[in-house]
Amino acid sequence: MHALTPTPERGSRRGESGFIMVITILTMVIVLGLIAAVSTSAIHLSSTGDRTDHSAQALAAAQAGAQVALFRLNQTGGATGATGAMGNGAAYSYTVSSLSSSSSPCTGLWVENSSESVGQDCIASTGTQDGVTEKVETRVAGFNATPLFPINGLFAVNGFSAADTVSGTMTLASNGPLDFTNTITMVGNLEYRTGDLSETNNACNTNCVPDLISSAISLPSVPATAWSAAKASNNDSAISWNSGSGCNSCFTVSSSSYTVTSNGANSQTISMPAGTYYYCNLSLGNGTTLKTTSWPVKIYIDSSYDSGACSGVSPNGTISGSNGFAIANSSGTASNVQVYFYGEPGCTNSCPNDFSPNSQSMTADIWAPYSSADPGGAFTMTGDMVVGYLTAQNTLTFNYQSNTLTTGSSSSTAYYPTADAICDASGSSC
Amino acid sequence: MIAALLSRGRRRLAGERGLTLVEVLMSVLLLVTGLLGVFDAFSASGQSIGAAERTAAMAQVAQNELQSVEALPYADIEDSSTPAKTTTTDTTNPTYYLSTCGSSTCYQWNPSSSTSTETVDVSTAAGKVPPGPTTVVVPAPNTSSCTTSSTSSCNIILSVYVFVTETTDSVCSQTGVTCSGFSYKRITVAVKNAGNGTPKNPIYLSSFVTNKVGGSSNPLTSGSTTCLDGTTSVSCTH
Repeated sequence: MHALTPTPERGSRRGESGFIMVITILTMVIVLGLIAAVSTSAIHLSSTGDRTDHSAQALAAAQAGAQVALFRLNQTGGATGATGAMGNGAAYSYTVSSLSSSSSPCTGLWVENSSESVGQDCIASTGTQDGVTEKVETRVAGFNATPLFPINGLFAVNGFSAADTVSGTMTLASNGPLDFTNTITMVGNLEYRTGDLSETNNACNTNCVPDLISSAISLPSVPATAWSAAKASNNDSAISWNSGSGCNSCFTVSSSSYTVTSNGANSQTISMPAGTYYYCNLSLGNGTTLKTTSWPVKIYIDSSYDSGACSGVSPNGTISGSNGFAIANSSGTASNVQVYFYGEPGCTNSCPNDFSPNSQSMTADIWAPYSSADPGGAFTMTGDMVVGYLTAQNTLTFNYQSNTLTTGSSSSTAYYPTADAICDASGSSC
Repeated sequence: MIAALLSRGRRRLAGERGLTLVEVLMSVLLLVTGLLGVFDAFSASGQSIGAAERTAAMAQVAQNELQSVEALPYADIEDSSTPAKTTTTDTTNPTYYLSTCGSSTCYQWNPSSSTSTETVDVSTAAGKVPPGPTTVVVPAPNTSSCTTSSTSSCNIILSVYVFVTETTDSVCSQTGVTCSGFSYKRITVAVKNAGNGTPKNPIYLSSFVTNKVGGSSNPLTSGSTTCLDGTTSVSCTH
């Protein structure tokens, strides 16, 4: 008899014991690895999406900071650095550094001008959002700001005529005809172009100096955006009729018009405190005085020639009074009262008659290059004036007072961006 | 004896069959658990990837929109119509932060500060910026019928809002600084996921645009202005 021993087949079967478990565990390890890989990939993609979002917000904040720096440079003539928040969690921080030479590090090229020294600054602005940082750099060049009034006195762009005497201290200039029919006692230059000066009895003498100019005087421009900014101002209803409730309904918001019509009063006063005012029409009734009570006061008279403005408002573009009007400015500083007329840009001989004070004196700076003025009575003015065409039907007395008004910048230097770049936020320079 | 041995052999064989069954059952249990985990992981990952894809698309659309507005002339950067408030309760709707202020519409540019309101700059004549909502879609792969008017087969559907508001800089309140009107324009672009899934909150992108000083008289374009490229004078371009 032979003892029964396990056959090789049985031994093999015993060796297979737990084999399925091993395979299963191995499979599970692989599956877990797959899960980990997919999850890691998903998390990575998710964080990439968030980073794209935060990066865009940080970059926009950095660019906003650069814009703020540029604005402040133009307003104050100098800025060093500041921070700000954008409301969506992003924030900016900028610095402004002066560049002394072409080798000073900043994006862009060194700017030179043959007629003036150009100061340059580098604005470096950093935006952050949830730990993501972006940086931009802007080079700005500072030029002498262009004076808004090119003549120290009265510049009648297209022409001037005076039926009576002209006096005062000023420069009187025109790119068109200058006609005088009475004496000129003014002190200052009379700037005229060939063939454009017409004097009865050689009226310009003694202190008046005729000065032939070879080329037309350039007309600076008020930025179109000044009008939209003025339109957005909220001072328009702040003016008040002196009799209290007498003219409460004179101002119509929808047409931006202030019209004195039915109160029956003559020679009244309307008070106007400091602010920026925008009207399509300012019709002041009979002999009314617009009395400024605090300053500065800026009045913008828009017209239908400004695309989209004052349509359907009639009349528009004018300050008028049935028997003239006055603007009172007891501060004595002309630039404290600035009046801008939109007029009809491009007009030459037939600019709209937008401004006709009568037998009044005023201290103000008036910008009306595309309008005509036709003061019927004696007109006395202190300040600076640009007008399309001036017809003085009576005596004209004009005394120039200097101002620092420029084309768009309130400082004496206007800063223009010349180059900008998106930088490596971790680097020290672009 | 032989019978006893055979009986013991049958018992051993029977024991081996039982052990394999337990193993198989445990293995099946483990595999099912694992597969469920895989399914959940893939599902969660899919959702996460979808959300990430939408977030990235929202950021990209917002950035493109902001850049296109910034490229406009300053005077044209105004909402072309008054944005309409469409909800008073849903804080994830960007129009929730619109309000009436006097005769104008105001926008609260900082959602967490109710005092951070600014007037919306609207001009139906000059404004070139539609306030929205404007629909932007991304089609699913191999789909041609996804349009802004038929979004059922679109992979991503976004609503874009753009609010242009008037900002007055703090420097204007300093003594000796005179500002005319507002200082510059704030452009707020909000992009909201209008389709299924997350994210539910919109992405807000915000920046400023200032007006160029001097209007059209830019001295950089003057013949007397040059730029120094190394040692060579070249015309300045920006």
